[in-house]
Amino acid sequence: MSCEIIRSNVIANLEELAKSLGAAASGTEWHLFGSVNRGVPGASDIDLMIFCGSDAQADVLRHAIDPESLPLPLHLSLLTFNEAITINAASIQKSTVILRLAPIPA
Amino acid sequence: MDSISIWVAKRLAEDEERQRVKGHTEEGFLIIETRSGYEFLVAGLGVKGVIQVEQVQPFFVGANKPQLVINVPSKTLWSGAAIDCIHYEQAAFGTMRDIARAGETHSAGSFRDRNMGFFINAMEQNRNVLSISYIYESIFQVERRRGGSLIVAVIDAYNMSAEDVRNTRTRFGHFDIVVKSSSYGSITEQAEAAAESMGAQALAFKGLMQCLAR
Repeated sequence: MSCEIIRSNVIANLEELAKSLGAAASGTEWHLFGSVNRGVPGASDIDLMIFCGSDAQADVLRHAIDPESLPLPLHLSLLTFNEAITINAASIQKSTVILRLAPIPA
Repeated sequence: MDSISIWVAKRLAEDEERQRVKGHTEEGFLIIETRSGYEFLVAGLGVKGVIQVEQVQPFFVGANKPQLVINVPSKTLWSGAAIDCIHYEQAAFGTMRDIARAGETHSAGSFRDRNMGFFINAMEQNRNVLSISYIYESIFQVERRRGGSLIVAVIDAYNMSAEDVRNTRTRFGHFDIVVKSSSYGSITEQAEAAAESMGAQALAFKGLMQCLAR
């Protein structure tokens, strides 16, 4: 399987995962980085950062996301938007935003 | 074969690029053959929660002994006693993905998680450290000559967030130091604050070494 197909499949799987989370994932931003994102041959895991609106949302997502549901092992980092901005996470990890989930109005 | 080994064999059959299941022993261990012809035995567990020593001991009583014990699901914790038992039998422990990694070593029983191996070696070399023992697979009790013992949690993270710290506490319980395994990336201020609120410290490798030396 080509690197591009692997990347496309991983993104499709993550989109499906995000959809399955429903309101718990509303307002989050999903960043893919690392070997799958770079299209490195033989990528062995999925490096994913999810930027969350609050600590509580991050905790809920950690509990709700089942790493076994994905085709490759998931290396998941959950940060609040504030944390991500402070450490410049997206730029340092050279991540690609693959999903921006609309906030659900209160 | 038990249902876990059958499931593992099926999953491995989906991608035989790096290794294949050649068969199984009478104990039900999978015989794995890598592409280069190296063979080793894998035992499968299906424990949820914490893997106890009583659950791994039976693998080592027969004529054939596994070089690798894996558990599905991967979120399950390995107790220190279970890890010590496996290592005593010159075997390794891990998850599905570790089958390929262990095979690549051509010495599956000596396979160790690279990050943990690095930290264990580094801590052992500290002059103020008397001994290190596993509490769980990434949580260690470190006995020091001066300053008493510390519980050190190693987390697999580039950037350590507050959620990483909270999740470590939720999964493993009390720790004194949480350290990120990667030498790249950052520790957020919120992660430091979260650790402090638990009476702990969030550190990178250098900070851990300094702390152990005190």
